[in-house]
Amino acid sequence: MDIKYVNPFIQGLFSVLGQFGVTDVVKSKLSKKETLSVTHDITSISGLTGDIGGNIAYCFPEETAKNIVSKMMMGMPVEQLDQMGRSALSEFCNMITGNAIAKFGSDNSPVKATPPSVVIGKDVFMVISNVDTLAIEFSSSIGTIELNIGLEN
Amino acid sequence: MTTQSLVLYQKYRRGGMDTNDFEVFHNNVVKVFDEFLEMKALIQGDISEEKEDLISLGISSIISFTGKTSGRVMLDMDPELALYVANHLTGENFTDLKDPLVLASVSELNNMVAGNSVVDLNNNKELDLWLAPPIVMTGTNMIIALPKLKSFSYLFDTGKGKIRYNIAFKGGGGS
Repeated sequence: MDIKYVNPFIQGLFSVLGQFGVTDVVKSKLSKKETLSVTHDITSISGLTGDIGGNIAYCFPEETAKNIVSKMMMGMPVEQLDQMGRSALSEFCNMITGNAIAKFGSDNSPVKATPPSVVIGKDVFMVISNVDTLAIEFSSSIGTIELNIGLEN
Repeated sequence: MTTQSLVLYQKYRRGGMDTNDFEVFHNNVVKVFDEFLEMKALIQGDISEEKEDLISLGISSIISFTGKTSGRVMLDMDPELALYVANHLTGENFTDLKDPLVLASVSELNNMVAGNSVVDLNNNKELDLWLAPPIVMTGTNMIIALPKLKSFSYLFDTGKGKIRYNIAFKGGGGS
C-alpha cells in the first residue's frame, strides 16, 4: 500500500477533528491486518472506486461516537445515537474521506468515494476487504478512533 | 409494473437511477440463486421503500458504487440460509456464521448479483457505475444506517430462509 494514499486520511482526520475543537489527538497504535475486519460497536464504511479501489472503515466505541456527535452539535449532550446522530457521524466520516481524496494529488482526482454506510451493534463481526489493511488508532479527550485503510492497489 | 412500482418510478425517475432499473437486481438475484444454488428465490410482495434504518436479518453483504449516481446494494439473509449457501457452495458443514468461508460465500453471491446488474445498467442506461469491494458482516440486532440515501427493498423466500435485497442511491428528484 502506497503511503501517499495513507497520509491524506491521517491529515484529514486531524483536520476535521480540529474543526470541531478536538486538538489533543495522538496516534496511539499502528497495526497491519491481513483482512480488513473490525469488531467495534460502530463502524462507518466508505468505498473507493476509480484508480484506487478499496474501503475505508472508521470504527468507534459508542461513547466516542456520541462525543463526536456532541462536538458537531456545539456541545449538546448526546444520550443516544439516534437517526440524526447516525447521520451526523456519517457526515463526519464523509468529511474525512472527502478531505483525503482532495489531497491525492491531481486536479481532477480519478478516485471517488461512495456514500458511507454506518453499522451499529454489539457482537458485530465484519470483513470489509480481503486485502492487507493498515489500522491506525487515535486517542484523544473524546475517546479512541480506529482508522482502517484497505486499498487494492 | 404494479401500481406501487409505477408510483415509486414516477417519484424517483429524475435521480439518475429509478425504480424501473431495480428490476435488473431482482432478476439477477433470482438468476444467481437458481444457477449457483439450484434454489428458487420467490419474491414476496412488491418492492418497498425503506423509511427507517435497516435491521439485518442475520448476515449482510454491502457493495457500494459510484458513477452518474452513487449508493449501495445489500444482500441480507437469514442465518440458516447463509449456512446452507456456504455448505452448498463448498461441500463443507459449517455451523458458525463468523467462519470466513461462510462470510465469503455470501459476499461472493452479492458480488455476482451486483456485478451482473451493473454491467446491464452500464450497457443499457450508460450509468457508468463502478463497484467498490464487497463488505460482509454478521451480528445480533445489527442496524445498518444509510443517511441521505433513498432505499428500496425486495423480499424473497427461498424455502431455506428469507432474503432482502436492498438498493439505496443518492438523488431521487421527487423528494
